[in-house]
Amino acid sequence: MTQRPAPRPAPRPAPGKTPPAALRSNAGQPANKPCATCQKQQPRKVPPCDFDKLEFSCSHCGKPGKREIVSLAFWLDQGRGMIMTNRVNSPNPRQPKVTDRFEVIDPDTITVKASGGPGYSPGHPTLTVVPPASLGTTRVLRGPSHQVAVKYEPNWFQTRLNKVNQLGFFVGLRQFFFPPAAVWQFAFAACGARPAPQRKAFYGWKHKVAVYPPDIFKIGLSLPSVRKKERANSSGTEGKVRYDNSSVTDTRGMARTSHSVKEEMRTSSNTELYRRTESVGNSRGTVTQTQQLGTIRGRDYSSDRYEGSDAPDSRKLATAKSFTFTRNGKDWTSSFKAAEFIEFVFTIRKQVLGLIEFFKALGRKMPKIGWSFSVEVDVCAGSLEYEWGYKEWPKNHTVYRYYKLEVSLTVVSAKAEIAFGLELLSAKAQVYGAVTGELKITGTREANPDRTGPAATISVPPTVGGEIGVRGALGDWVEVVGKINAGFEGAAVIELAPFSLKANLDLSEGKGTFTAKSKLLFSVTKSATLWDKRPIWAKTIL
Amino acid sequence: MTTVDYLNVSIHGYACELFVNGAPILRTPVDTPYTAIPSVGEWLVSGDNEIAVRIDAIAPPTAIVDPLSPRRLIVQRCVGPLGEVVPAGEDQVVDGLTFAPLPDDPPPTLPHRVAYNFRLPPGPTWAWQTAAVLSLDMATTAELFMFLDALHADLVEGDIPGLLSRQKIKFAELAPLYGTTPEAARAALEQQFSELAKDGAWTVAPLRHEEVRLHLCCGGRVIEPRSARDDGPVFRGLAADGNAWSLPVFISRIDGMFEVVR
Repeated sequence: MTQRPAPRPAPRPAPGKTPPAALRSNAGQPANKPCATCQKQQPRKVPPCDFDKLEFSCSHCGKPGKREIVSLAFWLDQGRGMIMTNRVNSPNPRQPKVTDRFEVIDPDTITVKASGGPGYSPGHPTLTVVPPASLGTTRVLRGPSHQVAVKYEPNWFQTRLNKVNQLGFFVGLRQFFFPPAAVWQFAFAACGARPAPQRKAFYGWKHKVAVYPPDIFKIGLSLPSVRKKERANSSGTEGKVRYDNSSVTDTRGMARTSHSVKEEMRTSSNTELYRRTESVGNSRGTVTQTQQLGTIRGRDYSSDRYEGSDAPDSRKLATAKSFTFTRNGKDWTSSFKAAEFIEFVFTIRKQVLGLIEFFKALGRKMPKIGWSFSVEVDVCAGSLEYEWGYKEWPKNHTVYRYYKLEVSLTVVSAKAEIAFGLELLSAKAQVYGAVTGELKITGTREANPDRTGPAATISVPPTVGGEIGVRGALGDWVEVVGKINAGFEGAAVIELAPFSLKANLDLSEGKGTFTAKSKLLFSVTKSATLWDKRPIWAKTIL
Repeated sequence: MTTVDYLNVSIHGYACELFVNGAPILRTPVDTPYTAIPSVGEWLVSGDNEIAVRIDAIAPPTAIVDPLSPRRLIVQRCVGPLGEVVPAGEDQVVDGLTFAPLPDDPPPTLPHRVAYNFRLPPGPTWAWQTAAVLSLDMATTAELFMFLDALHADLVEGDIPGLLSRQKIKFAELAPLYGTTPEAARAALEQQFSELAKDGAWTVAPLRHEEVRLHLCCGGRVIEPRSARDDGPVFRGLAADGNAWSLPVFISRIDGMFEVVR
C-alpha cells in the first residue's frame, strides 16, 4: 500500500481574484491602509500540523528470536518528494516483493507512532481504527503514538468445527487450511500543513493490519494396505484342448486373512488335467495346497503339494487405520467422521478393480483363445502427516504459511496381468504380459520462506513397469516392431499451502506396430491399437 | 495334428541376432524387450544342429530393476500344434539356451557368441543344404543383383506368376512343412496380393544396389540381401489399408541358377 505524499495545502483563497482597491473610508480611515472589513475576509492562518515519520510495530518487533525488525516505518523524503519505507523484501528471488500490510498472529498489540514534523493542531493527529465487523466498532484515537490491541475471531475454530458434520469430511477439513486473515484498517491523519518552503506533506496514511489465527494443526493418515481382490475366469479351446479355468482371491488386511482358490481343467483326446490350488493365510503365515489329477498322453501327472510361507508384510496388513486431527496438540479427531474418508478410499479401489471388466470385454472378443486376468490394487496405503498454520516471518513484518509434510504414501499401486486373444493382421493372436503402475509419494517438506518462498508443490509421476507381448498362431509369426506402448500413466500432485492431494491414473492406450511374418506369403506390417486409453480415476483426495 | 518346431525367444537388454544352423532368424533391439515364437523347421537338418545367438550390444545396467521386465536372454526350442496359439508359459520346451552372467562376471567382449547343439533324427534334406558354397566376388555379386532386379521387376509389375516361378523350391519345401500344398500356397499368395494391391495401392520401394548388403549365411550356401539402411528386407513397399508389405528372401545357387529357397 504505497501512498503519495500530499501537497501542502495552499492558503485558502479570498473571495474574488484580486483584493478590492483601497477605498477612502467615510469614517476617516486613512488611505492605503487595510480596512477592517477586508481584514476580516483574510483566510484564517492554519497552524502547522504534520509528521515526518510513521512507524508500525508489534509486540515481537526487535525481540530476539521473534522479529528482527524494530518497526515498519514510512517517512517523508522532502528532497525526493516521496514516501520512503524500510520494508524488508523477501530473499526468495521468485517472490521478492512482500505486502506492505503489517501481519501479526493473534493476539498482538500494534504500536503506531508518528514522529518529526512541524507539530500538530490541537487534537491532532488522529488514528482511526476500523476492526472487522465482528470484532468491534470504529475508534478514533488522538495523539501521535498509540497501542492498539488486535485479535482474530475468538471463536473461529469452534464455529467451523460445529459445521464439520454438516459439510462432510473433506469440505469440513478444508475449512481449517489457512483461513483468511482478519484485516484491521488503520488510518493515521494530520492536517498536512507545513510552513513554507516545504512543498510536500505526509498528511495522512492508511494501513492494513492483518491478524491471523495462532493455531497449529496437524492431520495424520495411517492407512493400511487394506484389500486386494482379483477374479479371473476363462474357458475355451486351444486347438483340440478344451479348458476351463477359474480363480478367486480375496485378501482382507483388516482381518489379516487371505483366501484364494484356483481351478484349472484341461481336456483333449489324450489329456486330462485338473489342478486346484488353494491358499489360506492369516497373520502368522500362508499355506498353499496344490492338488493335481491328470494324465497326459497316458502318463499320470497326479500330485499333492503343500507350501508354506511367512506371514505377509505386517505393515501391509496393519490392522490400525487412523485419521487424526489435532489443534495445538489437542486431539479433535472424534469431531470428524473419518469413515467417510475410508469409504472414499474403498470407492477408489473399486474403480481401479473395474479394470478387470475392461479386460474381460476385450477377452470376450476372441473366446476361442480364452483369457485370464489378474488385477492387484492398493490405494492410499501408507502414512501422511501434515502440520500447518501461520507463523510470523522473523525477517520482516509478514506472516507466512507454515507447513511440514512427512509422507510415505502409496497413492495407488496397480498391477494387471493379462492374457487374451484378438485378431491381429487378420490372424488370431494372444496378447499377454503384465503392467504395473505406482504413484508413491515419499519425503519430508517444510516451508522455508527464506529460501523457496511459500509456493510448494510436489508432483510425482507414476513408476511404471512390465511389458506386453504378442504371439500369433504357430507357423507364421508376429513380431512387434519396437515396443507395445501399454501401461499406466498419471500423476500425483500435492499442494502444500493450502494442502491438497490430487491424483489421476489412466491405463494408457495399448498400441504397437506389428509385423505378421509369413513363411510363404508377403509379410505385412501395420500399426494396431489393442485397446483404447481408459481413465481409471482422477480425484482430489484431500 | 501337424506340429511345428519353433523358438520361444524372450530377450531384453541385449541387441543380438539369432541363428539356426547359420540362418539368421531375427534381430532384437537393445533397449526394448523382445518376445517372439518364430517357427524354424525349414532350417533344421538331420543330425547335428546349432542354435546360436550373437550378442552385439548390452544395455547398461539400470538403477531400477523391473521384476516384470527383467534383463534376460532366453531361447527355447519348442514343439507345438501348427496354427494354434500356444498361451504364453505353456510352451512345450525341448531344450534351449539362456545367457545369464552373474553380476560380478566381467562383461563379455562384443560381439559375444552363445550357442548350443542338439541332434535330430533323420528328416528331409533341404535344397539349401546341398547348394553351392558362394563367395561374394564381383561376378557372383553382379549375377545376384541381376536376380534381385528380376525379382524386383516382378514385384513392380505385380507379376505374381513370375515371382512364384523364382520361388519354386521355397514353396515346394515349405508348403508341406506348414500344412498346405504348393498350389494352395501359391493361390493364397495371389489372393493376398490382390488384397494388398486393391485400388492400385501397391507400391514397391526402389532397389538401389548401393543400399543392398549381401549376407552370406549357412556356411556360404545361402545369401540374404538386406537393406543397408535398417537391416530389413530389400523388397518392400506400401499396400492398401495403410499396410506395409515386405518379402524377405534367402537365395541359393541350385543347379547353377539362383533360386529363392526361403
